[in-house]
Amino acid sequence: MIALTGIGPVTPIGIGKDDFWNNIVTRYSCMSKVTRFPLSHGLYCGEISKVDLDEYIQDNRFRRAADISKYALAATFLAIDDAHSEKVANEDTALVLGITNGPLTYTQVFHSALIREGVDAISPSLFSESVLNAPASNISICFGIRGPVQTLVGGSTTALKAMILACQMLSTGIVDKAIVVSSEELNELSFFCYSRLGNTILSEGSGAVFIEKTSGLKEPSPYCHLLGMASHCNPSNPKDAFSSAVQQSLEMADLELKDIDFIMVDSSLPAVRKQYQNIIPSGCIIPLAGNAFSVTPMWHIILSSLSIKYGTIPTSIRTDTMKISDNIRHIMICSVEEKGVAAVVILSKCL
Amino acid sequence: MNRRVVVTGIGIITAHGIGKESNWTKIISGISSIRKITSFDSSKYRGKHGGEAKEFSTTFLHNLRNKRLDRASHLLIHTAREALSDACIIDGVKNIPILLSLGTTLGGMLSGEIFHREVIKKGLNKARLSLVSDYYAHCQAINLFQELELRGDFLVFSNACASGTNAVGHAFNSIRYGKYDMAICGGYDTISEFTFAGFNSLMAITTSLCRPFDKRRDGLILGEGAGILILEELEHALKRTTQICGEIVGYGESSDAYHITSPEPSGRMASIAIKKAWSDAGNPVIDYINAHGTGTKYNDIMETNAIKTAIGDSAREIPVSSTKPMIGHLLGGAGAVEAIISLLSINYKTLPPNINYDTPDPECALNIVTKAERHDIRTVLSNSFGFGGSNASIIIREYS
Repeated sequence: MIALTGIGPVTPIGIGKDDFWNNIVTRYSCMSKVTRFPLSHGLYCGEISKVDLDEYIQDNRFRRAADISKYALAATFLAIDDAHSEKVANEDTALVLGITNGPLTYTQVFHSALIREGVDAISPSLFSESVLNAPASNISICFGIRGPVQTLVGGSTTALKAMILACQMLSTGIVDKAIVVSSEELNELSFFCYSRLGNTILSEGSGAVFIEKTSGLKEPSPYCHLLGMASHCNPSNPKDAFSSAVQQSLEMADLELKDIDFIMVDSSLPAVRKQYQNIIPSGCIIPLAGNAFSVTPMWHIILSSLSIKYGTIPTSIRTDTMKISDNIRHIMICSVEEKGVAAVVILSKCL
Repeated sequence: MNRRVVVTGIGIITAHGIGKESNWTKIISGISSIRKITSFDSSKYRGKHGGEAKEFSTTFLHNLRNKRLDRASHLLIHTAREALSDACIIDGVKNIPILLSLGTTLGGMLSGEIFHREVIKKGLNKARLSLVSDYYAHCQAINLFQELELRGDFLVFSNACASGTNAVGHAFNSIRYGKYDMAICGGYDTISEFTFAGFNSLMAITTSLCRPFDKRRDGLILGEGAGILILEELEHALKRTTQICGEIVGYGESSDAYHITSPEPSGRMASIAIKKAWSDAGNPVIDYINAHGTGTKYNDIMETNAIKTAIGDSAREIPVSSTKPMIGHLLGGAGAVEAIISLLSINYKTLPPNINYDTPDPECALNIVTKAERHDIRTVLSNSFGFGGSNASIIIREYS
């Protein structure tokens, strides 16, 4: 069995589990006008105004890293610290990072310099920090993680797929523990593209969780267990992809749908929403924190872990008024993309 | 549950051409397909050459209506279709749950470059959004799902130059542990000016010839293309009475945790990836090593150290070659293409040559193959090492 033993949220709502939880409970709104790019766009987003990396990592090598890397480093530090794990600098720890956009700002700056000023104006360090696996590499270098270090790219489901891959590595004995991270940064080009497509409440940040086999666990007690998980792709029928992922994850967890106490869903697809509407209470963090693509489901995992531990779901993230069980045992985190990619992870209370 | 995993189909596009026959013929002839780059103006760069897949332009599409597919999608779809045809499953693939496991470093970067140029020239409001529809590195996988009407799931790895081997390794693990019976796996990347400029700024591109393990080596040559393998659980393949090209028997991975661009010089962590793969395969006799062999000063010394540390004294005797001087470094596609070349070397019992090698380097004291030669190859080790310290090794064996 696999347990979740540490969490590290870096969000516009709050950094660290206490700030994150307390600000959600008190309905703190982080939405404000974009300051990162020219105000002519005039749009609102969930922006992290400043992360002082020195607060978490005293290592000058990452001062010039892209924001996405800095968020990921801070989240990883928090998750490791929360899990009270001192031994990650080895070959038995895996790191799996899920991203959607990647270090786009450095990519844009590097390419702009190439186009506008020519070959002699480009910076090699910007290039190396703009590759898609730079955030994972920085985490690996910073914390000495020498096991498998994987970067998965994809849409909003990617953090859940990263979780599934990490669990696969644990269950097959490739590693003893794993850190699963997702991270995104706000970027002018992508922000503008998504805005033109109608996605206006965008966000940034990171989330990390520490998972390990229960057999090797000492203190502290885990937040929850990871009992079921699955992902599926069916571009011609997103609803079917979602149903298949739900069904497979329930089978893996040896549960039925009626056992699920709460669902966290990031999708606005009507076909998906209707499937469990008025059947299971549901919630979503996007109205509070904005949509940070692959990071959103990771925030859902972190929030659900806290909800299971504290035995309550904050009303601020509820998307319906259905009654919730007094004893929250199983929360299903779902992500569905418009192109028919779906992923599901079931978190369960440790009994 | 440990099941046997075999390769039943191959698809390959490189600067050498399209398909396994044309690629293999040129590889054992020691021909270089490195030419002056024509897809953008390379005259302003230190190095000006690359391995462009000039014989390939676009593929035909049955189901996708998108006219703005990136070249990366065309490469992937064409190669996957070729591999499925080779495995005699092109018509039946939609009825089998499929794992699509891919590696890429750039995705649709060519489209991203055009979009960004339009933004700079015309402004954000006038740049065509359709250009970014195939920019992200997972879009090509979804396009392949749509085009071939696949059902199942996909994962896209982006671990720099180790991505392709990671993708094959993940597919291997998923099949042997019973998650899937069949996988389409491999990697792809295009040559883009963005990447070329990046490697150029790092002074990693050679101004002359790519000469892996040679004392005069001074850098790599970029290439483009795709390599796709169809992996199947053995019984699943036998039930279809299809051809079996070889067997994947070991996979290992590790990370240097050292530097964002430089490999850890001693090769200690890379040796652990090799050891893990070798041990996973049951420590068989290795008949040939298809090296990562980029032709950069640091990689080749590191790889030599890693091979010697992992395999011991017998490492000096094992024939080693890198095929990158002929077709270039395919980045996310490299691991998969080199796995295919390794399979072909087993099938044709011939060692591929490491061309441009003429001055031995004492720091790279390996048994470098300079000319193609017949050899009883049964088991091959193929290495991939990437930016950020990603190490991945795979062991491929003759099927028996």
